[in-house]
Amino acid sequence: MPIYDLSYRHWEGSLLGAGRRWMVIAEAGIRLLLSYKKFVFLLMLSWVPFFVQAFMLYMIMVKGASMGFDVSAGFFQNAYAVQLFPLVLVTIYAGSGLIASDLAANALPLYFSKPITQRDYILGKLAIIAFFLTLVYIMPVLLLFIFAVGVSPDMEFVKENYWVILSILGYGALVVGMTSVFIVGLSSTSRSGRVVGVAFIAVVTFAGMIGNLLNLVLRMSQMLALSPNANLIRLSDFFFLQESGLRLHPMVSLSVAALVIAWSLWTLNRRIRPVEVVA
Amino acid sequence: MSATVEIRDISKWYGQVVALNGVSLDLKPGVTGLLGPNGAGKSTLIKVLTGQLRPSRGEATVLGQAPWNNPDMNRFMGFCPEQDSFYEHMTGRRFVNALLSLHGYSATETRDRTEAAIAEVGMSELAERKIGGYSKGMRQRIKLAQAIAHDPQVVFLDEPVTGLDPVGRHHIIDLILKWGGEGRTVLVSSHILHEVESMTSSVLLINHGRLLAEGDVHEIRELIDEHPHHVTLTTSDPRGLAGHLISDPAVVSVRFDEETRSVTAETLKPEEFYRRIPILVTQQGVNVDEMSSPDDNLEAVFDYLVK
Repeated sequence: MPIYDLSYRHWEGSLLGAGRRWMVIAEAGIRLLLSYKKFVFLLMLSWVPFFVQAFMLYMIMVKGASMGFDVSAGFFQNAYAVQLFPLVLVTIYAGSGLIASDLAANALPLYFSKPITQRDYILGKLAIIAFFLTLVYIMPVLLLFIFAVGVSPDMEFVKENYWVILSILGYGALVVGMTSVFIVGLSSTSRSGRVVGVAFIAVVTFAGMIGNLLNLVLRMSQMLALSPNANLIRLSDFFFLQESGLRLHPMVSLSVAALVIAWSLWTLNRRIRPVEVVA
Repeated sequence: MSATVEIRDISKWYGQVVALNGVSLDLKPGVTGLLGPNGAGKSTLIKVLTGQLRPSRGEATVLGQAPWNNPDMNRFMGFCPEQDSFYEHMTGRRFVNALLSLHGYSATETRDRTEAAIAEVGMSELAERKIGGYSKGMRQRIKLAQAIAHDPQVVFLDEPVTGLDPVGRHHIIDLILKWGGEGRTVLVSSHILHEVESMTSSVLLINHGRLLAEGDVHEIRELIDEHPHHVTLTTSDPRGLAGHLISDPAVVSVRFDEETRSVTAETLKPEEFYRRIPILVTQQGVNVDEMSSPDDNLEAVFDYLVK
């Protein structure tokens, strides 16, 4: 055998730019999840409330039916509250295993033997869950608003509610962003997606229970900051300019969101390494 | 021929544990064996060279560039890790394709290269099967496919033939020889001497994080052969077998153990000794159930070298 004949060929063509490498991970993850029939069914179910609310909206705005509420900012705020359940389900289904399955498969050394960085990897994983959460959380409410604009008989609705689109986008982006970062961060703490799913439910449930309990026992409303649900309600009141029944400052809730994001990013930075170092 | 991989005084420690200690070496195109017992520092060295670990001290360059924090270098390097890195539900083709797509090739180029790499490792007909149903040899081959699919100039293979059956081992050794022949720099780690011998004569010996020797594998083999070699035979009649062995001129001493039904012979001429055993069995009617040599264990080789 001739040695060192240098017969291998190296690629001279163009490659995807460094700034877009995360998209490969995102695309692969989205395709994979869409190949699961159960998940596609869940996505479809997540849109059922949209059709119900669109029907109600049509009846109120076009047929003049009375349902005890009108179509204004509060209607869209409520639409977000309804979409919270699908958001949780999709977060658990699509987000729990995002990194956990890579850890279980010892795949990180393989990922990082390719020309991608830790940032590309994390960004790619975040994009996967953010894509699906946008699909089941922001899109239905946004389409409801567009539908309302479309079916409104005059410009009155637009004149009074044009700012609501910013509320929908701002609040939706905050919830989707925070939830995505949190579940991806949580997913990096275990090799089992199931454990991550259970941990997510436990955090959401127990933190809420503790927050409400402390609020009742200590009579300190700021304790509600421990409750994810209370924070979401307070933030949605803030974004949709609604009078809040909770005695919790929106800045406190925003700070909690910032803390959750900071913890998740810190965890990701520590956990996402090609080599697991046991020192 | 200039070196493609250069390491200067590399050390790597984790807290109190020293994984690499002042290692310096050069690698040139062709196959080089990285030989050392388990825990010697082979994997750590490969991880430093693939940029997955930052050395605590010293400098490593691959193709003139430092691999640490330099993901672009991975376009020119291929890496096959020791552990099974798999998504069991994925097909072999999807696995190679997914990892190759991280290089940023177009979809067509990714597909073409995936098929070429799968064919290279002889997995074309098995590529649509799920990895969960693959044998150990198939898993190794598909792992190798992802390591060479982007045509790297430098390939790091961590224990690529460990645990394979003889046919699978032969196939992978042929591939490694081919890649070395093509002008790639291939570093293959192993803890088994004869595995490395079948791939290359150029070896690096590493133990306890230190590079003990580098050079021709045959010189190492001679070192081993100069040293008394121990062979353990299991038999139903250890006393009888010991009697036969003690009269053999190639044997220096014999020790037997009735309880374990084993006889351990010490010889200075292992080749001659191994030739005589089948004759002893057939002509003298001695029963030998099992034969093993603790000296084939690389740990023993290193004991010789450091004494």
